[in-house]
Amino acid sequence: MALAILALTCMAALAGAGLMLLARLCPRDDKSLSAQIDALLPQTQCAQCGFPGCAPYAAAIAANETDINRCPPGGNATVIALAALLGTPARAIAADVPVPVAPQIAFIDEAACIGCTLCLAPCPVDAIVGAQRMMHTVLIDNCTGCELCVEPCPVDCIIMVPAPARVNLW
Amino acid sequence: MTSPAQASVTGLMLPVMLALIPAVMVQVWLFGFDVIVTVLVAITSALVIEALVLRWRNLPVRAALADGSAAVTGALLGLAVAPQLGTLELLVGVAFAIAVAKHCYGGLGRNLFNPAMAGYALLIVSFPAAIAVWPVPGLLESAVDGMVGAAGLDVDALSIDGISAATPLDTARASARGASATAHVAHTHAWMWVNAAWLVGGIGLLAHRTITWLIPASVVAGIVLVAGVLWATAGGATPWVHLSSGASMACAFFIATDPVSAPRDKRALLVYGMMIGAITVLIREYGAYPDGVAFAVLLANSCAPLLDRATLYLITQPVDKS
Amino acid sequence: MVNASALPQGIAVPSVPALRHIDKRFIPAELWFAIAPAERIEMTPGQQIAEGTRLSLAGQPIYAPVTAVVMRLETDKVVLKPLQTQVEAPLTTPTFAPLAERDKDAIISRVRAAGITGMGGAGFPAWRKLAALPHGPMPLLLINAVECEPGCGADAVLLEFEPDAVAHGMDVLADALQATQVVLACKRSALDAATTVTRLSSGQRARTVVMDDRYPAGDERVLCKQLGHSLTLKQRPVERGVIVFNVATVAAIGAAVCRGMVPTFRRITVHGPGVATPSVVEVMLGTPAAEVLAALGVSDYSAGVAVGGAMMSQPLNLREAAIGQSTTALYVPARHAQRARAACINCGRCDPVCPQALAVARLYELIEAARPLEAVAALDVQGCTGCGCCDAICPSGIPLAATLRDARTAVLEQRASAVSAAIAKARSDSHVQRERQREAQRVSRLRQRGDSHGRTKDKVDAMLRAARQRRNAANDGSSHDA
Repeated sequence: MALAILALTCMAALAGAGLMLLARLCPRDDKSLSAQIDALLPQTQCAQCGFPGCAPYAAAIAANETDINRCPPGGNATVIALAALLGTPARAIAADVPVPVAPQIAFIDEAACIGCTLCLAPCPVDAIVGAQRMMHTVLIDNCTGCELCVEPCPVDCIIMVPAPARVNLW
Repeated sequence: MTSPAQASVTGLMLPVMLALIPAVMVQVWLFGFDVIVTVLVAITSALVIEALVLRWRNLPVRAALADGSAAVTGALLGLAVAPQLGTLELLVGVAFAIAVAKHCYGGLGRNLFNPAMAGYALLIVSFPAAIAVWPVPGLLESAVDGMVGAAGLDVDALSIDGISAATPLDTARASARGASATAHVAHTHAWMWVNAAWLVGGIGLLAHRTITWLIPASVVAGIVLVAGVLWATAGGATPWVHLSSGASMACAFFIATDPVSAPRDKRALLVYGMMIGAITVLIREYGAYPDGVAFAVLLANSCAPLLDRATLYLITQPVDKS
Repeated sequence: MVNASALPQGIAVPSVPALRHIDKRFIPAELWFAIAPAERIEMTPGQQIAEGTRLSLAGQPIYAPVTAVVMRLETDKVVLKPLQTQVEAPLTTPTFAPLAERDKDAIISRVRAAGITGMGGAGFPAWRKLAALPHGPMPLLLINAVECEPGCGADAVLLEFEPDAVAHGMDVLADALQATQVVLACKRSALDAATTVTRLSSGQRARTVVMDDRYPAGDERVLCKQLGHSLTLKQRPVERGVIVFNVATVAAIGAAVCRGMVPTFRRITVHGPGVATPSVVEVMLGTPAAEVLAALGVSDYSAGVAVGGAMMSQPLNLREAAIGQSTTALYVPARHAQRARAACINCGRCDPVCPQALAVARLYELIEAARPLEAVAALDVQGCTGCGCCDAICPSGIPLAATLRDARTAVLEQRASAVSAAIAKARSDSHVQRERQREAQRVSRLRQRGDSHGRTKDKVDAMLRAARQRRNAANDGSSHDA
């Protein structure tokens, strides 16, 4: 009996040591957890989660400082994907972040624009083209709909419109 | 199999029910009208139990009963068991087949194991004597009278005729152990007719394109190969005996062809069928049970998902790198 | 020359009753054109619009097919009332002059100006297909008159009654593309008409190919394969040197180039269990679908109406649906046509019938189990054409075609959003880097000059915010969200 216990304990110890050795020899993927999380975020850079961009949000999640359900543009799909990556349960979008809306892009009413360039800097993806006293316009293909340009405009000439379909279904 | 006319589950099950008729007729001729009673009780109880389980699961009853899958399960089980099996035992088997083997796994389309074979396996394990002991085929009663004692097969007399005997497979094994060979010959004859009837029904299913030829062919190939090897080397029964006795033809055409528990890919089906044939022969020759079909099918069922995965893995290899 | 081609996949087509051909052109009481308000020409109710007037400002050209009066301007469409009730020929006055040049670029601009889109059902702009071609002669110009959707026969009628229109279109395209081979593919029943067309075309370079009465023999990928130009799932026909056009599109191109006509009419099949006498009728573009049905005596469409047929269809909303260039047929299903739906019984019949050789059963398994889209994309669900063969064969009545098409859309959308997310991330990273550099330069500049009245960037922002608040307060509560 004692011999059996001893034998099994030794075998278990050997197996455990073997696994530890293997884990050292086969390193984890080079990509850090923060980069893996960032890859699942929609890259809208809207700061609606409370962090100034997707990468800082990803870093905060990786550091266990915040929850995975704070991204409105990503919606439930992103929460589920993050939950699958991190092994935590998926939840509904947090109550204190803006409600997710359909994909949208910014539109500058050219009749009202005064060319002040105040909207250029807030755009996290440089999707507004313009210069001092020149017409400003939004690059449709690059706008992520983050709404960060709407507030700085002193004449309120920026509105959000539904984004055009990005997919050619033929 | 490219006709939308068969595009309903009933359209697949109804031909199977019709194809059972030759087997029913032959078994009635050989074993008496108990066969009809057993089959009807099995079908009815299968439908009733299915309705009860569906109601309990809050699923639509009428549509599911109409698809005929429960009726087919009942019919197959009713034909597989000895006709003098008690009603209670039969009900236990049917209930296990429908409620546990089919619905506990998710219902139609989701069961891992063939329900009829699962029910049969339960019965054979729980009531081995009652299941596997068939009435003496009417034609051969007199010939068997003396042989039963000589072969040392001392079983309970359960049938109305007064004497029951085991199937040819039992006697085949018994004769391999040195008992009389004549009993074996007598019974083989009767079971040959039964298998011929199953074969006729099976050919009908093939002609109607309800089943694919691949499964029966690979089951038969599996039986013939392993039986041939065993016969040549270890003195087992001939491949012909294996093909014409027990539930070989029923298995090849009716049981192994159940689409839900079988794999989907053609290569997987080939392996699946041969596995069933091979294990059937092995259990018959070396196992403790008279017929290995049920357990062979259940074992192959458990391998079916893996077989599908292995062959599907082959098709997901990217072929076009453009 | 005739080749009969046997199609291993797909399904046998059930026999359908012969179609009635209605000779008279149908002119409706109203014409609906779905043009958004910002894209319409200026028009007011009561104004008369001459035939051939372009109604859309930008984008897809849409022309008034007949002299009409503007009835109403709705948010989603323009409603015109035709002033003529009888039209003998489509548009008595051509919109353009006949085109003298027949080189590819001239043809492309004419086709674009006329607003011709594919008339086989998909509605892809014809000029874009032509413009995407590589330079040099085209190995094969394939004209698709097969119309394999069971019960449809509009293309066959076109072949029979307007062979010269088709022949002219074939010649125009063959010359412009310098096509080495010209093939007209059709069903056996339309062989005589097709042979007439090929004989009418100049140069005797066109030949007819007969396809089996199997569905989907008219699918362009299936056609290419049968003619020896197999396509992998990701290839389009032009990549293999084949350009495919529907026969009605070809006739329209011919009319636009040779006579300067824009598309005004098209033939459609009205069929289905809910139609007492299935018919082919030539209707004016813009006719509300409900009017066509009423005119043909179809009164019960409680089960809905769809464009297409039993195999492949798009449901229509009769409140806004009008016959367009891509409306091939109106299908009225039987009432209670819903098939009972059971679970998948693993019968495996769906795999062999798929013309694109997709692993249908496995894809359905993955989609039902909500596996990640990468797994689904790895099995090439993007190759699904939605033909519906798997639907027809499935004993359990599972809507496989719809499931796979939804998954295909999801995969394409996910890929598109992955691409735009990557672009956004790259731009965001460079934005952040640039801001950091700028801030660093500004700080160092300020340090050199000495701190100018202590005005750092934060202080400037705070002053701007305060100024804005003062302005808002001064504007007496008109709300500007902060």
